[in-house]
Amino acid sequence: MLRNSRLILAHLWLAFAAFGAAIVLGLWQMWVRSPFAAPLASSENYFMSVTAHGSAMGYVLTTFFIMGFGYFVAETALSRPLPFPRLAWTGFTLGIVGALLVVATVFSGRATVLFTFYPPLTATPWFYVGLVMVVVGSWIWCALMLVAMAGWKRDNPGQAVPLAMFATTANAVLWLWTTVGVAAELLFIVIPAAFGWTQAVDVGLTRTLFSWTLHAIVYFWLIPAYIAFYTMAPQLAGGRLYSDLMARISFVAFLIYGLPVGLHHLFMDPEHATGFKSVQMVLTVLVAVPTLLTVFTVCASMEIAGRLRGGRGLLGWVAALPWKQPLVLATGLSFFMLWFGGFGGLINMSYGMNAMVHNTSWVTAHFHMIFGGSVVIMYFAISYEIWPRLTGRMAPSLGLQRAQLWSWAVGMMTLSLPWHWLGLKGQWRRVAQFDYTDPAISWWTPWMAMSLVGGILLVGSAFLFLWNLASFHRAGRSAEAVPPMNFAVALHSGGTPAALNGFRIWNILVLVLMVAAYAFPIAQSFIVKPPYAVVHRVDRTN
Amino acid sequence: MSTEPTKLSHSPKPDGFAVKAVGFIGATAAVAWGLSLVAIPVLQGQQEGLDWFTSICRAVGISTRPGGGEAKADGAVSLVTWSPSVLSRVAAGDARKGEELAKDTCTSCHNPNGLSTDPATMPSITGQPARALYKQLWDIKNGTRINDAMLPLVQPLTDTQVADLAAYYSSLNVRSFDIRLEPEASDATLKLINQGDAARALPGCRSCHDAPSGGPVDAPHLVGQYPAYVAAQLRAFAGGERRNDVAGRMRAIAAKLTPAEIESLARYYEGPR
Repeated sequence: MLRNSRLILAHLWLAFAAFGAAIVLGLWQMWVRSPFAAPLASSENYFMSVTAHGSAMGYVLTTFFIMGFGYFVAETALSRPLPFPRLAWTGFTLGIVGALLVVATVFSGRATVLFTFYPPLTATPWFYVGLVMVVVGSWIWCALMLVAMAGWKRDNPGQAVPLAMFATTANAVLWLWTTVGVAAELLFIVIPAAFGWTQAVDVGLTRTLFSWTLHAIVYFWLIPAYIAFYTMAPQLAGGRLYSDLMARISFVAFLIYGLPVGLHHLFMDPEHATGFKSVQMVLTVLVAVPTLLTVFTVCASMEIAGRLRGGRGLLGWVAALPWKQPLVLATGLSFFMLWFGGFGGLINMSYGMNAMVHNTSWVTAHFHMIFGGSVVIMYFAISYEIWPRLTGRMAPSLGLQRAQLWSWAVGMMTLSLPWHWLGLKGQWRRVAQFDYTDPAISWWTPWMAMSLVGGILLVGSAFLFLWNLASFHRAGRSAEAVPPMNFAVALHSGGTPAALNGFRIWNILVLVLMVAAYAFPIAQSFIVKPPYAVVHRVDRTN
Repeated sequence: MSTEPTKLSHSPKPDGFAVKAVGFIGATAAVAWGLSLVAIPVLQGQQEGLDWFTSICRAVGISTRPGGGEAKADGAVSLVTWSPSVLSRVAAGDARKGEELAKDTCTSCHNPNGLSTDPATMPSITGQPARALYKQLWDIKNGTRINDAMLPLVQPLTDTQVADLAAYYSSLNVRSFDIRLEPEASDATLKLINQGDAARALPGCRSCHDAPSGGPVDAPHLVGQYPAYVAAQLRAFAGGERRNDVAGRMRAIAAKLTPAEIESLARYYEGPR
């Protein structure tokens, strides 16, 4: 049992409670948009629900899961107590109060601005204050990760920080950089408008600041999955991590190339000229590099495991892998969805092709496939792997865990492939209801029905996941001791370059690239003095 | 509980990796910026006959054209611009001062409660958005909305007084009800209100006139408005006698409505009798 298991379980259970509620809303939203009459269907309820679903999935599930998993890694990978656990509880408290504020404001119908805000739409200020509290709580986590890593380095001179902790700290550093944009947007523009201190906002500037956050946040969500790919999957498969160096390069590459790329979310926006959009498009291409490195390294690691288990021939090692291990299975399913999600991402980041899919269901489909599919399935698998260490109890049934992972993957594919297709055909997103009697769109019916089936599968899978987690707590303490948490050992660990044992040089590079990529796009708002948009309050009727 | 940590490298040049990494990242950055801000813009600019300097400025987003295109006031449909300072002045309107001022200026026709003495020719102004009232008062003052009866009354008002009056009448709401609960209209009228008519490029009335809508900030509320006044204004827009609607929005819409539709819409917005 871990010293901080209560702290970690509190974070993870809060994350999954939000997830459980949000997925039901997601299904209802699909039902409203589908050709079948849904209860309580109205535009107001739809946008209320979308805001709650997005905020819960994008901010609460992710942030609390990543914090909880980070504390787990800090204690297990470093084999030492977490520094300042009381501060960690303070961060948790701030986060939970913030999350409750968000829930209260959204469900009172005073914050139907969706989770990415869309100024000049303006909600009650307490919605934004709640989100800021969640972010501030996560900053405490970032500080604790940095302190934990620094403490270990001080006590272990000449040794490389264990990979899992290096990657977790890379994520903390990335998150600190990432949140600068949204914090500036909320604190300087949106919250003053929400309190009524200003009557108009520079929408271009708010969107530019949010774009700073909007793409890197995805890598913040994704890095725990990559930590599992590199440090947990090869271990559970009975093999070795092919290259520790390659793994570190990947995490550093996410930190460097994950940030100066957000303008690719604004390709169709008028406030920027083509030059800086193109700069950030080229840098976005480079974010594919760490993903390709990961695919290579993890496949090589799994091949080592498969061959050690007796697999022969070109692909015999694949069949020899222990697919009954939930995390190994999840890695395979995640990689499968990553091909689709990654391919869609390449379309989105291409300036010309982006115009075709802009604001269509394709985009919604893409981020569900890549986040809800590739990433969240690894959150499940990580949970199954670490829950025994947190509770001291073994899983009653690995079969149910595998069934849950399969149903999630099948559900996510069934949900998002029709959306991709309809998006290509021009189905617009952020629309509550469609008139299916219109001959122009009546052919959507079977596709929407298929997608809805995917949604039903996902809700079933989500409840099975929560059931599986609860099963740990219901199970009696197992007679056999829970094996200690071991992260994968690297096959090649000839020596880690000093630069890959810290973040100083990488932070300087991020600063240089961010200034070069964002200084002018932000500064032009003050040079050109663009027209402002009138604040449009959704929380008042007059 | 953990794996054996790997050793740090002890190469003679400990920063060799860092130097290579910085070199690689610098090279990729040079490609990104060079292609995007110089090479591609200059090549594309050549095809359009632009010099290299103009091409690069255009890619960065800097205008090289002399002077800005100032909007001309001639023939303007309204001189009210919703700049942050104007919005702040409207938001700062003082309803109590407005109430005092209204006693001398407005109440003989519009009553202290905003319900007018002659519903056939005058609007109800109770509970109208302050921005709607502010714009209409200024349009009359500037002559972009013709109203001979109102003109001498609003002419002497200062900008602050206009904002105060707008604040006062917007603070009232004596005919408030939820019109969605009172759908006393035919399906055709309800469709016009909720969805409009795509075949005629007509947006639904609700998309601008139902608070909180996403329409222009100065759109008035129609709920509770006198039917004779609504119908008269729609006819005036359709005939072009009233033309203080920015971008000709209401003129375009009203011209496509049939006389029967105008009557039924006007009756609908009056609400329960």
